[in-house]
Formats: sequence, structure tokens, C-alpha cells
Amino acid sequence: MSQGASKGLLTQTLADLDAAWKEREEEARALAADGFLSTAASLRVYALEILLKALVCRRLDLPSPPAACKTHDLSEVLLFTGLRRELEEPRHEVVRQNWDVLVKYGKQRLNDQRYQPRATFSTKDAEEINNALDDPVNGVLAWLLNRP
Amino acid sequence: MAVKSSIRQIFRKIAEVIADYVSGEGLERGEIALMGLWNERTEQVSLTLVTSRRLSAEDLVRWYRDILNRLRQSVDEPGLPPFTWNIGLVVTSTLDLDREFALFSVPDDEEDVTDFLQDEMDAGWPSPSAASSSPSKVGGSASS
Repeated sequence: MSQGASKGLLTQTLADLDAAWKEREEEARALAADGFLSTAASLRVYALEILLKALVCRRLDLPSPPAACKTHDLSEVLLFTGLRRELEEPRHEVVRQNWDVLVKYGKQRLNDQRYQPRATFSTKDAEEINNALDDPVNGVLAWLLNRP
Repeated sequence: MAVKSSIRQIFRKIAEVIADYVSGEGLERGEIALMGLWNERTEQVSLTLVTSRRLSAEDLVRWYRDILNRLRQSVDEPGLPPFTWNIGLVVTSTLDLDREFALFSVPDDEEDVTDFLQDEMDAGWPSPSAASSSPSKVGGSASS
């Protein structure tokens, strides 16, 4: 059992999560640069899940995520960040739209993608995922990271 | 479809709202498809609205905003947690609606409610002659 684990909490520590999401992003960039777009996109959505779990730890002041966060469902994890209501604010309508793109990918493509030829994942698909994450104003990463 | 009747009522409202909106945007029934997933455990609804009409990025944002606002007015109830928090919506345009049906995948823990939504879109479509050209009848979505 990792250091920091206790009843009601997952074993991953906040430090692990912080390192892991950044490393998955780094690995995704390297794969994308070599043209491996589908695996890069998958890694980016894994990174988002890990980032959300790190955010949960910060906002709940916990050393590890609560056991209820033992899910790959992005919408479920978002609830524990306390940001769900904020996502409904009119100023965040494009962020919500981007969020929905990522949740759809996580539900409908992420699991199957590993069994499929990379040609089934188009450049347009990659652009949609990257834009939903990286848009400097309304991207999900900007929304999650650029807060006081 | 195995989903409970109270949820079917919500799906019916969702289809009505979207049919009313897109027909108001000047689309024919055959130019639009509404696909959906339902997760009973989390009570999440995942909607994919696809049109064969070419839409600009600005139109896609506008459709998303307008439809979500109409859904809020239609399915959220005062004093209760907003149901629309559980609704994910992706609006997209395509050259081939049939291909979108073919690509629509259903995760193990989700139920495909596409046929129900498509039928309700037909029923709620303002033009009496348009329902016969529903794209689900052409593309054949995954069974629910």
C-alpha cells in the first residue's frame, strides 16, 4: 500500500497524481509528434482524469482521492471537485461544450480505440480533442488550471 | 427499451425540444439525427446531435447554447437538482449521417436510447410529411 493510503481513500497520493498527469501529457505530445494521434488522444484523456483526481485532493484537502473517485467516468470525478455548478454558468458555456466532447470521447471511443487500427482516428478527431483541452480561453485545461 | 417510464418522459421532452429547435432552424427531418446513451447507475444522458447540413463553428456553439437553455427550461424542476447537469450534448455536422450511426458505440454500462429518441423526434417534428425520411430508418442505429 502506498504511503498516504488510509480507509476511505485511494492509494495514489497527490504527488503521484501531479507527476502522472504531467507525464501522460508529455508522452502524448511525443506520440502526436510522431503521428500516433489515437494513442496520444487516449493518453490526453487519461491525463485529464488524473488531473481531476489531483484537483479533488486539493479542493478537499486530502492526501489521496476519496474511494468514491475510483471510476474512469469524468463526470463522476468532476462532482468531487466542486466545480460542477460553475460549469453551468453562462460564462462557461463553451467550456461545457468542450467538456461534453471529452466526456463523449471517454465514454464511446477511449476503451475501443486500443483495439482499432490507428486510421480509424482521423486528424479531425485529434483536433477536436486537442481543441477541447487546449483552447486558451475555453479549453477544459485552461478552466481547470487557471483559477485562483 | 428497459428504462423506467419517468426517464422515458424526460427523453420524450428532450426529443421534442430538439425537434422544435432544429426545425425552427430550417432543417428537414432527414438532415438530422439524435443519438443517445443512458446510464442507469449515474443517471447520465449522453446526446449526440448530428446534422448533414454544413454548420459554421459559430452555429455549432449557438445550437449547443440554445438547445441546452431550452432543455433547462423544459426538464429542470425548481427545488430539485438540475437534471441538465446529467445531460451531455455534442453537436456536430457530417457528410454522412449513416456513417455516424455506424460509428455510434455503446459502452457496456450504458443503454442505447437512439431508437426511442429518433421515434420521438419523428413524432414531435412539426412537418407532417417529414417523419418518413428519418435517418434512423436508413442508417439503422444500434438496438436498444
